[in-house]
Amino acid sequence: MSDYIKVSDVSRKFFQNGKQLNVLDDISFDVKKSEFICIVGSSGCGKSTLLRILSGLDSHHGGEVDIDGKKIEKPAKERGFVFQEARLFPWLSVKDNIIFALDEGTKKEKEERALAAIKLVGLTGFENAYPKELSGGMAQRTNIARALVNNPSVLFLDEPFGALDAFTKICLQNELLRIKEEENTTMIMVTHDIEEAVYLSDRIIVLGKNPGRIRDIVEVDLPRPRDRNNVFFTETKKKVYDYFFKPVEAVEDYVI
Amino acid sequence: MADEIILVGIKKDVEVLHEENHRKNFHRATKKAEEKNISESEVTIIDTEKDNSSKKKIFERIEYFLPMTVLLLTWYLVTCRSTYHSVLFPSLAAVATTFVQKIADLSLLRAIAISLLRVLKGFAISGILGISLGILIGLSKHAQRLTDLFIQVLKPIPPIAWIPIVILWLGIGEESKVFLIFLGGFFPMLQNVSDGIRYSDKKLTEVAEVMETPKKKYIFHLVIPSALPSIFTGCRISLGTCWTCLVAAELVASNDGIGYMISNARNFGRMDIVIVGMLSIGIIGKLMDVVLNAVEKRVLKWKA
Repeated sequence: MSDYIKVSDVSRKFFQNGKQLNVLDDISFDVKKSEFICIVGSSGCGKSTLLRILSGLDSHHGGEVDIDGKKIEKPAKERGFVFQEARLFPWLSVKDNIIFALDEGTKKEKEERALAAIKLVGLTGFENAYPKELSGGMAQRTNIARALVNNPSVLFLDEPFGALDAFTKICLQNELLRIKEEENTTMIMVTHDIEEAVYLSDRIIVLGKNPGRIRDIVEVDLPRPRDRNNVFFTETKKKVYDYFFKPVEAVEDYVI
Repeated sequence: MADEIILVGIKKDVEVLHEENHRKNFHRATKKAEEKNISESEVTIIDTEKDNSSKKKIFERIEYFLPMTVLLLTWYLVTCRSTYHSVLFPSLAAVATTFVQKIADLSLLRAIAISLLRVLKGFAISGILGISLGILIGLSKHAQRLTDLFIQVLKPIPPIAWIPIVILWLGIGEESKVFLIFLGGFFPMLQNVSDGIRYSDKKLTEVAEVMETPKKKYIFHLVIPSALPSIFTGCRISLGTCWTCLVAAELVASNDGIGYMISNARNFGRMDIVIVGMLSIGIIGKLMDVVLNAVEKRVLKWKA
């Protein structure tokens, strides 16, 4: 399979009080079609910036990003973006928030597509609720539905489950995998949750800090559905873990 | 031995008694529970809570009206003495009598109606111009740069200072009064609307960027709705200043309206009528705010 997304030599500088800050440097990788990639890094390493560059939201960068052979300069509908916060329009109901993303078709067609997206994320019954009436998980489901309703070929996710409790998180991770299975979307997700990365992705990009460089790309060659307590799962997790934390030496007592 | 047997017997008796007591108590408890429905006890709990909150509400009401009552009472007590000079400051009784009298002969209501109409005209114009220009300035950096200096210089000039030139240009008719009221309401409206548009949530506008929302939809379905709260604030402040400018406007050779009623009464030394006029302006201003508040609550019910 050919490379679908090609990231070559991307760098990003910020200026702070006249001082130059290299946030990202020498970032190059490829993504295959319908692959699930997670970008893992500690806070402040530039992983969200990288995602914004990939989506076209940030255009002040060096290097080049190509998706499907075209250079990315600005965001487009066919590339969905799920923000960390749900960012719903508070004056619109769940259904209307999703319809907002649609520009073509009659009113009826739009409504049908919105309802299909609502069903896809499992929010049927809450079409007419307003954002202030939703729980964090429900708001994030709406957010994902809004990003999916245009049938994007790529979905960028910026720590979408970061603010959710553990139960909702696991539930939404499974939903996300189901959606990926159904829609065959290429997904690139930024997260600081290593377990989440191992559970979801085909490959994990480990990002270092100051400047943000790729330290390793870890293949997660585990069958799906994945068992979080499986030995290989734990091993992969540890491998990624060790990039960030010094391995703890177990103190062992020997009695002879 | 015998003592021991007796002791054991007593112990057993005591145990039996205890058990019986226990059973009886249990029985009583369940009976009580049966008699008193659980839901009933819940209701009583809720009732006491309600009682507390209603008590609190009453207290809050008292807190709200107390200072005004004290003021009126002081006014009454100070002015009811015969030694009091009533030309300088009329007694509460005199003001109340005048108030009733003015309502009864409809002159107060007529004055209010005329003034209210003027204010609504001025407010409507300042609303239409203020909101549309505010949206334009908020959206376009060019419009902002082109108008900013004008606005900053014109804004601090009080409507009263405009009176001479307004009379010269627009005469002493209805137009000059409406214009003065419009001036009072225009700038606060403009400021609030353009700020609301300019500082619309970056997080939400980014969402539109990602979706490639068309410009028209972006303005009418994102920017303006998100600025609605500040547009409403603009309306409330603007209506307030419009109403405040009323007296200034009606000082322009007017022969009707509340402002005229006040200035006319002043010429005759009728301080009671002056105060009736002032209080009417105050009360109506408060009522208008209440109405606008209710409208805002309705329109912005999506607000958390």
